Amino acid sequence: MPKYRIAELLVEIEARYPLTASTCRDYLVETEDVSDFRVSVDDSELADIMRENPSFSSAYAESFAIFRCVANEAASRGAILFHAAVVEVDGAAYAFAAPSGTGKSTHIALWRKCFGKRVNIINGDKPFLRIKDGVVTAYGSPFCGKEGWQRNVSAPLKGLCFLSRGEQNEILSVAQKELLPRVFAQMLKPPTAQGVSETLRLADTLIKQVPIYHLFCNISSEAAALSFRTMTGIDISLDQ
Amino acid sequence: MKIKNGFIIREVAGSTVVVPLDPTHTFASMLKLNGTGKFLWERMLTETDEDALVSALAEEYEIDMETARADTDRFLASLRSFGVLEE
Repeated sequence: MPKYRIAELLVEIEARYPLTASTCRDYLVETEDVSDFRVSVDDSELADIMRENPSFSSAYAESFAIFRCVANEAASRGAILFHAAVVEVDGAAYAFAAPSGTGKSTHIALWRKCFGKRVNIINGDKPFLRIKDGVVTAYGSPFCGKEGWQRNVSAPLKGLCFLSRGEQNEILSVAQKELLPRVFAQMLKPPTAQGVSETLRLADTLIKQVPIYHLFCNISSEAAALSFRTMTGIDISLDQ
Repeated sequence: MKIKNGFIIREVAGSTVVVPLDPTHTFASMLKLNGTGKFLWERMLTETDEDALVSALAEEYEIDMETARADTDRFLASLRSFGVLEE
């Protein structure tokens, strides 16, 4: 059975359709090590998912079920799926969170356009976050949204920015009492006590450790420059 | 009465929060408890009744029974509205 290393967890995945293996190929490892957990989907679970989501093909329903199972198992082990687009600049990770359709992908594409190869994608939609050596760290994952933007890399998270559309570009800090509900809302909710505990532990560390902002922005270069300067602390000119 | 099974209570970022294990629960995200709420919640993890809660609260916070009963009533009403109590 193929093994994958995802957010430092060794996962065995048994899938009958090739879609899952193809989606996870960047995470495949050859090792005799014992896996942290193994995942497969039985017929009745597959049937349930297809009943709830009639538009899913069997192959898609299987990979959907496998991913959900991987995310829940990973949560119990401290790796939490986080709904955000995450990029890497000079070895540090920066996350943008917003409801689907707000413009996360557009904003990180602007970073890339304005600041070039210094900016690299980690994951466009659903990276894992976990605490590594006391530091909140973002990990690539095979779950990555419609653009397919993902790389199997990791970096310490140095900034989180909630994104809203605005006429003007403005970046604000987030009120103390809003931090936890906002951060928690981006995290996968696992159905186990252990998973929920790990989710809350991560939220606690993230809030204490990572600067958190709220950006109101349009799709201009100035929007990218404002978030880039504020989050990375790098004073870079757009003309460079 | 007691708190139903299936809730996790934790200190996070300086607040006491309660999270349901069932993601389809009426409050799918989290409840924030103040000091009084946390005190009462912890006493309701095992079977108790309202009078016992009122006395415990009055003693802990050195308040009169009337105030303690009003606080307890208010807290229990909100727990009932969230479907958290087993009575």
